Amino acid sequence: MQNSDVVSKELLGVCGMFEQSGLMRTNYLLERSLDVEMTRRRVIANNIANVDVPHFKRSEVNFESELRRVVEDNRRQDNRYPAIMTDERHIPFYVERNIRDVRPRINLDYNTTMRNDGNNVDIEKEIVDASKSQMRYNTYVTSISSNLRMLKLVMRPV
Amino acid sequence: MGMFASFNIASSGLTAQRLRMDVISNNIANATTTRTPEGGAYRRKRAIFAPLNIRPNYKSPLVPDRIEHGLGRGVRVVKIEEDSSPLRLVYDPHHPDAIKIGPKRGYVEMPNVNVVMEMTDLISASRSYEANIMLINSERSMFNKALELGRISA
Repeated sequence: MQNSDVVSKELLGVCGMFEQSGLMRTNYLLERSLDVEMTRRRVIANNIANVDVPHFKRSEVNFESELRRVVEDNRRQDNRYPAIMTDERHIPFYVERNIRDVRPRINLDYNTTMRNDGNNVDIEKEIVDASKSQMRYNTYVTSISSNLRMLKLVMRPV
Repeated sequence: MGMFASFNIASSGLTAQRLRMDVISNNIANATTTRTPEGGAYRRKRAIFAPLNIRPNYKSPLVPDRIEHGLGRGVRVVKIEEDSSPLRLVYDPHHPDAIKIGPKRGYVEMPNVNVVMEMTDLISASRSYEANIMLINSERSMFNKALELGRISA
């Protein structure tokens, strides 16, 4: 009884380490990026569908720049000055953000105009964006499958 | 330059050429328009293009030659300008827009649109559009080839 408890605790610890490993973090980000690409394709499809609607404004998905900001903020050392907080309502200078908390954001591009009817959908740009999104999706899928293949190689019984 | 630089450049070309085609079709549609809100006959419009650069290219007394920095980022339409060439005069004294007084009495000012020229411009715009599309397609097939490098054969 006690023996199996110790084993399961160890197993949990190993699993936790595995979850925190670079490989799983990479895979998590790739997985999230796949989701984002699906969202992006939906937004682009909506833009293209509304290409002839007067006063329609296009939207776009913003994820990569946000992710890069979080990664760069976490890497930087100069914003680690601790704020002296004597009251619980004080706001710290810097709060570390987890990469896993970055969510895609859909922004409305409301202050440009493409045509006289107030619509700002540029059909060529949307189609090229859809194509780019598809290419990124393929890249992520290739990357995930090569990661998993490497994992399988490691876990192979000797 | 990111991964999709040539895509962005080609898409700016596509947008510009489509606008050029829109302007040309507007010219053809208005080839016989004799009255406009600004007054007088319709004047031929044309789209003026300019390159998009990463950094501005400058010219100074010390550096007389224009210095180009790096690659461009594509093309953009600066403005749609009116052609200032003289309007065509056609003798038609019963036309409601005919000139009533002066030495040009009885003549009607017709737009300075040459339909043959517009058609050749249209072909040129359409070919440029196709060239941009071809660039996108070849870039995509190159990318797919590059992706094959990432596949570890099982």
